[in-house]
Amino acid sequence: MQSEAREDSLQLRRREFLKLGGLGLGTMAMHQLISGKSWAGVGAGLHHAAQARRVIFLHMAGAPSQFELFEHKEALQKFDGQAPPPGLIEGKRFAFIDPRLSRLMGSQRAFARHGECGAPVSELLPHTAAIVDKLCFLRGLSTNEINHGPAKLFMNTGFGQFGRPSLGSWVQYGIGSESEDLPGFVVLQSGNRGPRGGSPLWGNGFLSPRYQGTPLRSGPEPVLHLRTPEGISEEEQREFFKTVGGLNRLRYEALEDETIAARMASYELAARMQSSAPELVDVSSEPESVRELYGIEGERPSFARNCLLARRLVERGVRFVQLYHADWDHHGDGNNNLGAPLEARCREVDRASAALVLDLERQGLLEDTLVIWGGEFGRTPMSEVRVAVGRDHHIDAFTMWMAGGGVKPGFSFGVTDDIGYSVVDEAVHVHDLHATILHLLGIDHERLTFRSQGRDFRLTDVHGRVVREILT
Amino acid sequence: MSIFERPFMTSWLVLALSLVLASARGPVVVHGDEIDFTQDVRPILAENCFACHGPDEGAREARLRLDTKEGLEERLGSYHLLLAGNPEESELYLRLTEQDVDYRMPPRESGKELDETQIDVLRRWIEEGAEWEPHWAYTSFREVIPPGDAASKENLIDGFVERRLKREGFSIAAPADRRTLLRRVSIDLVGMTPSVLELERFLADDQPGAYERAVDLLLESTAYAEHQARRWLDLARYADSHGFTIDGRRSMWPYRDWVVTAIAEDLPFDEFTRQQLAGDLNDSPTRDQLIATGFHRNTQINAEGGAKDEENRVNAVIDRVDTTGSVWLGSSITCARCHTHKYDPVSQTEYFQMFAFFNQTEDGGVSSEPSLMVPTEDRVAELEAYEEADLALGTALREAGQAAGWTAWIPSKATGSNGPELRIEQDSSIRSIGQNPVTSVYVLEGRPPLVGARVLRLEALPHLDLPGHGPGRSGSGNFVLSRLRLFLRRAGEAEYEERQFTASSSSYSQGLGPEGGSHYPVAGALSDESGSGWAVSPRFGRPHVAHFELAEALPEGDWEMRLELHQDHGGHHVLGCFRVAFKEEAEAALVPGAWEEAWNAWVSHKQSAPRLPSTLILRERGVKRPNRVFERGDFLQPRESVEPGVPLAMQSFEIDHPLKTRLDLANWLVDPRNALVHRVTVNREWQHFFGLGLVETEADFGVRGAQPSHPELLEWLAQSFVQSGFSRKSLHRSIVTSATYRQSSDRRPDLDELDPRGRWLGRQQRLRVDAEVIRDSALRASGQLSSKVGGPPVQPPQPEGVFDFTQSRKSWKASEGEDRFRRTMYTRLWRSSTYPFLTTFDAPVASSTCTRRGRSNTALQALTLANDPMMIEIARALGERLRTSPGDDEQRLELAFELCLARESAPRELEVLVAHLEDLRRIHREQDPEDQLREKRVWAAIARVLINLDEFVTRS
Repeated sequence: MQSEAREDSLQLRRREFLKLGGLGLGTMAMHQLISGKSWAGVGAGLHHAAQARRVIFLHMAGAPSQFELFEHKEALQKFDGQAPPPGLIEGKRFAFIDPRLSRLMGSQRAFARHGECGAPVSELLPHTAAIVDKLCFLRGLSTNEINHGPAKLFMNTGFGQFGRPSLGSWVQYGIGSESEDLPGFVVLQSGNRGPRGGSPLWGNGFLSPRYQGTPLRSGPEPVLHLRTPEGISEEEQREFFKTVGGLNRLRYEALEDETIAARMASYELAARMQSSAPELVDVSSEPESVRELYGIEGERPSFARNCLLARRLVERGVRFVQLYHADWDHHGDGNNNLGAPLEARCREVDRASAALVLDLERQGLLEDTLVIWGGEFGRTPMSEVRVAVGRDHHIDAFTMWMAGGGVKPGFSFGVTDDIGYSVVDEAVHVHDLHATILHLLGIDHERLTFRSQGRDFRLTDVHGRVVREILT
Repeated sequence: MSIFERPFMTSWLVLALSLVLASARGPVVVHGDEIDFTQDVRPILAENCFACHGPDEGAREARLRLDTKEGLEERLGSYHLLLAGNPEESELYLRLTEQDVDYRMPPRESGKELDETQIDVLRRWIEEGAEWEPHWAYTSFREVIPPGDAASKENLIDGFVERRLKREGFSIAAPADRRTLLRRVSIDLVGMTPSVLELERFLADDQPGAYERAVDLLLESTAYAEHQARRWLDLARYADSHGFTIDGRRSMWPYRDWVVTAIAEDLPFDEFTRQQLAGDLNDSPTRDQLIATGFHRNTQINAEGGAKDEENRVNAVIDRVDTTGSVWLGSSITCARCHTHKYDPVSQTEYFQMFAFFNQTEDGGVSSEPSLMVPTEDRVAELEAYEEADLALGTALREAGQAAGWTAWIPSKATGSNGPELRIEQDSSIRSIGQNPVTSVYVLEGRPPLVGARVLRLEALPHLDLPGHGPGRSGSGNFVLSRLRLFLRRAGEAEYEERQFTASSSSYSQGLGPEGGSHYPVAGALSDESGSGWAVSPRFGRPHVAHFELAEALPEGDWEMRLELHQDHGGHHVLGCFRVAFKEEAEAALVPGAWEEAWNAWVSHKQSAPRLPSTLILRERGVKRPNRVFERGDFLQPRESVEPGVPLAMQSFEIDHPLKTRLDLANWLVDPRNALVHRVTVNREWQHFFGLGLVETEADFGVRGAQPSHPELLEWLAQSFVQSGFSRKSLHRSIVTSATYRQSSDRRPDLDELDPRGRWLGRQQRLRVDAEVIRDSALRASGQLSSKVGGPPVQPPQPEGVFDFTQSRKSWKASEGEDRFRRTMYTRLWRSSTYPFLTTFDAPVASSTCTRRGRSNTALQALTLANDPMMIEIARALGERLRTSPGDDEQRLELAFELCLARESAPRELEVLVAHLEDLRRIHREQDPEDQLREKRVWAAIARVLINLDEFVTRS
């Protein structure tokens, strides 16, 4: 698909619409054009049949340690305290530790096998452990970038520097959204700060800004400038939109320029969002049992609340929901280590992550919603000792899980060596992960392209393999 | 699938089949009579063939190359790739029309397919003689004679446009009405709607040349320089922070102000280019020339904990190459970083030749140095006095350090393991810079300096750039010298032999002073015991000296010496600045008193540095880095060496001396003969005034870029630009005074049907204006706009919670007073969270060069204009201006139209607004009959409507 072709196609549809329907603005077709709603036909997929229609990506910002959560290695326990084999660290990059002085460190947590599939999960994630038969573990992931900022960009945009469209934007560009009055790509954040990297993580890069992620803010104004300004009554606001629309219409009638009609439609969508978005974030309408399932306490912003919001968003047709939960960077500092801080992070996300999968299933949404859980990279099998014990950044092997739309439940893919340092079989690079996500949505990652500055760009650059082994 | 592997069908069969195909297709109409290689043929080949049969040797199939004349003319054994005049004997054509899909080109798996029209174009091209032309953009200038009567002093642009339109059966549209025209040219030149005064003056001037006079006034205004500078800052990826996750504050605005001044003075574009790319390489560069080099310091710095200096530096250099490519060469040469370009003739080696120009600057790593202090006019003298003292005290310090009787050793080679660079300074001290290693072994090699020397003196020296002023690079400034080893060998011999030290002494050793602490005596540096060594805590920021006595004096004869400083302690306990000297016998006073005196004077001088704004600059470093090709673009995998150079295919004129420096590169770029660069430049300016460039792909003049819509006009504009002495103002003047520019933007259904994208220039376009234009116009209409030019960035109000989604929360205290209402280009730009109003309206986030902004239309824009408290504040001020102006409601509404849209209202529009006015009064009366502020609220609401109109954000 080419950029201009796409834009032309939109133009054409707009033109056809105006020709066919006169100026009946407010009808659905125009909103679809403006909001980027699917034009390829939902379910049919852009290039092939889609198995998933929506994505919820739970990004654990800072990179959780796979060795304390999902990866149990006997050999690592056995060689605890010993130097890593020199061959492994030769020529490798580390962020903080000096590999020659480092020591292997066995998992700091007790593990058990769970469910029928027997997946190992540590004591820190009891709720996740209870649903392993619904999850598909990817144990052989690798990435290119060793620092948080670049690695987050890489996980979100397939490139380690600013300027490329994010996964959610590509998906919007490819198949649009099904939502009438909400943005199609929504970003939620919890924890004590935003993810490193900031807005480029959900940026549109060279794609149209209509595909960029919209951060849902906590508090009464979930979308920037959603609120009617102070001192202006709802009645005045209605009159305002009516008058602006009326004057724009006169101008349209005089000039017959379609861009004026498009702007009128934007104002109508804006007015509708003013009423739909506050309803969306008002979770008090959910039954107490649901709030309890997620572990929502009170009204304060939390990962649990965001998980419930994610469900409400996909329910309303939002295509791509990205959650960030901060502070998984457990190097061994006082506030960031594999002791109490890791326990706290796990408590914050475990129950809600599992609840989201269960709730989606109960609502019949799981079969075509893809849930993804993981960080931007993993952590070293070697310890990093500062004032407390932690692990350094590791890009050669780490673990994520997926659930729902089109992936095998109770399945595990990816084999690492005895100490979990390298992938020895069933490797999945971040580019492969991206290719697979697009595939599940009915998009061929090699054919979803956009020409910018003389080059056809893809989310997966010139890489990427659809990991068919994990597909149902 | 290789062409050579193909089993041949008998040629008559091929011939028969292709004839059938050709005849079944019938004639296909292509524009013009003859097939033009550049216009018609090369785009087809580039799109479909070059990926496998193009410049990239690594990807080339069947050794077949279709992007060069030589490649196309190659004979393939007994048959021809191309036989002029005879498609059916030309393998190229036969393979396209091949029946057997396994042999047809392009191969199925490529996903590419030629349609019948394209195949027909290639057939006719071969029939007509298969003439090849070099890619148009890379050729030298060709002579162009403007159509029409050049002597008539009519604007020469119009002849070219008329000619094209005439060919298509149209002519130039009528000019826009005067109000529309003034609003258009005002937005395009100064980035704002005209003021009432400007509008009235223009309308009152009914003499010939009124429009030209209005244009000249605009061109001479500071607002013009500001708006055009802001356009350039998009290219320069200017922002006020370092980027990435930490995104710390950066003082860069003196560079921004330099651009404004340069444009106000109409600094010729060649000089404008030279100063920005290489101002520092002038002989004794001026402060302004140094500030200008900030252009390429607008690169990002990742200050995250685990970030590597060299990675930061290489990323910055890559960005400089890519930006230079996009801005001047109109080419995204970035592809060639990892592999030779697939379509354009830029090899990976050539990419790294470009890289080499930018590979020798001092900056790099997590530090933002070098920077330059920029005095305001009244403080120039103060700064000059400071700089004078700097020179004097620095020299004194150097001289005091070269203590009498000692012979300093200047090794011929100095390296450190685990990444640092060891730089030998003028005073023979050695600085460890760049990556800070956890542990390191410094190795110094060279000739022994002094025959008969028995004592080695190691000075551990403080330095202002080191933590705690050094001498070490640990967090506090400490180091631990774990082991000192000296080796000698006869010149030419392979093996070194270790020489022993017998005794050591030091001016101070950690733990041995009254301060106490763990013992790190100097004797530890001669012991192999693990954990021992010489350290100096807590006496940081001072020099320390150790003497090591050799068992045997340095011998006579031709020897080579190697000194190893092992620093195994960890935690970056390595030396940051040190010096080695030799003497026959030691002396008692280890640190000369004069040295400490000079050092103390130096430190207090540095601490007295005037607090002035600074800006980042480029500076060439002394010791050259090796220039290498990186395997797949990865700096950890250096390959063969390269010399600086520019891509061969882009050289349209002979280069008479080798290009070595950034200055050479800049001179080559703006050489009057460098047609490519001037085409790219004028095209980008044209784009600004028409929405699209003559070459639509303004950043891609390569073979897959668009063809110029008016090749001769582009050629003529570029040459005129050069002849005008690279004057941007002249270029702008000639564009905006052309009839082409002044056309009405009204639709022309018959023309639009055939030319929906407006490529023939048969009318002007309606374009959504830039974010800055929206806010500045609103501010100007409200009467609040500040006329203050330049200075530190300001902070207009921004919604709360913008930084919730970034790693480090920035403070954003909204400016008060005049700074609240400055032109939007002066708004502080954080790269990780750019001012939301800007990004909502497509302003770039300064991550990479931006050659064209988007013009999107989103619901978020509607919400922003309607509800953003910043806009509401402006609407209130505009409302007040309306309310307090003389006259009745209708006259005030007319004023609103004039201020916001520079026109009079239409009767029905006035009806709508009058009705709205009544509604508003009713609503507010019902809410509070006693409201004293009712009229204020009502007129603020009217103002709000006006600045939300599509027309307000559109230039017609």
